[in-house]
Amino acid sequence: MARSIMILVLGAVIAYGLTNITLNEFTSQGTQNSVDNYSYNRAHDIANSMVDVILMRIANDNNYRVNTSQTEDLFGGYVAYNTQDVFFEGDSLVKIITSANYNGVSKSVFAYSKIATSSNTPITFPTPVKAAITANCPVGISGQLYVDGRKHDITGTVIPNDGKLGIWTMGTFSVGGNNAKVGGTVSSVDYDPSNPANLITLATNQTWPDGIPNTPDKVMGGISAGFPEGTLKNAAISGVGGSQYVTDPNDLTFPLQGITYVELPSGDRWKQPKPRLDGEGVVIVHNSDGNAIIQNTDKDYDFTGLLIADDIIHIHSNITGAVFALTESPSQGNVIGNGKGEVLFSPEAVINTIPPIANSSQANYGFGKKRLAVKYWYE
Amino acid sequence: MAYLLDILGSMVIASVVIMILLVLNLNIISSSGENLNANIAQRDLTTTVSVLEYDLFKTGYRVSGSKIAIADSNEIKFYTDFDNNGTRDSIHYYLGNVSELSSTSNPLDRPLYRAENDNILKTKFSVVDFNLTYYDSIGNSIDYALLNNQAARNFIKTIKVVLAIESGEHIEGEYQNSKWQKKITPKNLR
Repeated sequence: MARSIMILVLGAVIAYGLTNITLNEFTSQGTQNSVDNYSYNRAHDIANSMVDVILMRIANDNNYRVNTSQTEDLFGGYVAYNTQDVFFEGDSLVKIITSANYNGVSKSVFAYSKIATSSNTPITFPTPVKAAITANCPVGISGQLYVDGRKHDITGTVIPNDGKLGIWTMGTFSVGGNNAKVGGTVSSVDYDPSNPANLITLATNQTWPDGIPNTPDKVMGGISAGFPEGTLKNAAISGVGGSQYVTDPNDLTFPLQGITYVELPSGDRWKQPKPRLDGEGVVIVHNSDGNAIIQNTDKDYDFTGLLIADDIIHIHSNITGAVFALTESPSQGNVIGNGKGEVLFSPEAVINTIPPIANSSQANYGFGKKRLAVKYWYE
Repeated sequence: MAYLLDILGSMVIASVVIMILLVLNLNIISSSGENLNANIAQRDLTTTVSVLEYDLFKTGYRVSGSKIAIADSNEIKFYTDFDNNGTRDSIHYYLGNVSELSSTSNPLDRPLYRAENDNILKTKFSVVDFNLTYYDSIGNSIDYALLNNQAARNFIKTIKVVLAIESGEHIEGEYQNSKWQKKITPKNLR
């Protein structure tokens, strides 16, 4: 009997021992899972941090490059890195490659950055501006308004076959009288302004698949273009490049430069004294209700750049650049009306007269005017 | 008589020892099963998480225009150049129904599908919870109702993922579980 018990106890001890070993293995595997996961995250962080470090070094010195892979200790692990000047996605960029190792777990990250300074990075033409006159509402023209979507240089000289439509609208288009003319460029073919307007130079009843640009910042391309909401207003308040922010047009000083932001009370109109579009840049007439009106612009002054307004009644000025009407419910049923001025589409006029605010809001690193724009990040 | 008492005494002691050993053995087996299930749940979780993280961090890479096509509480479809070959890919994660995972005894587990480029061949993970919350650039969560609109989806800068996994089979009525959550800010959603 005693022998049987001994055998039983011994067997139980062996069984317990084996089970215990198995249990320990499970526990070890669980721990190893956690350790591997932690190590992966740590390696991921190290690789990303090293990209940030290199970006800061390049921001500090545009000529900083690491052509041969180097290794540094970082955050308890180590990271190998190098940089390459590459032509990627149609642009000359610096590729930063890092490969981090933490506790035997590796993670590679690479990023592409544009080396940009305020002097060498052009502001891109805002993509929502689709024509000489772009409107979120019906457009009616009469009088002697001359709308030309063909491309012009900043002096108003036509550059052939590279323009846009004359008018792009979410609503209808109507023309009154025999003197108002519309022309433009379609599929790289210029159409001289004419009356009646050549329908091919008009786009009516259009939609915005990605949402209606109903604020000035959205017209400039929104967040993706470096214009999150408030950018233009803040730039105007800051006075960058001669910018001005007023709530009363009488407070404006001329000639206009940079961003001219006129924020009118709800439903108010800038009519008296006559709106003087004298100068260049971006003129904005807007309020949070989207019902600020600019009416009867002064025919004695010329403007070069982009006019963005909630509600536009009667353009009598000569504008070289583009016009954008924000409202979907204009006070007179449509915008523009019986203008006597002219709108010549000119991307050059728009781009060259905007102060470098987009660059500074897009920039991520560096001091002063040394800026980098990170284009792509693969992690 | 004394001999008989010795035998009886030995039998009683032996019975007690055997009982103790049996109970111990049962406890060990139970504990071992729980441990195994917990380990499997944890391993499944880390596998799912590593795939999920690998994908989400690439959201928007080399994509111009809209980067997130669907953003809901338990579904997301986004665009990226997943394999860095210059061609846009789509990755779609969405939850299936509980009935689609009826092969396990767990009444809560359901498949989490991952479809690449709308391919009908999907990867399937077993989960009990997959929840997504979306945040804008200043950290405010974006209402799901707004996310039907592409313009609102363009504001997404950070995605919080909550993922929970339970073992497919139970031990004494208990399903071993493992949970993970993380806020991911894809750098290409700028």
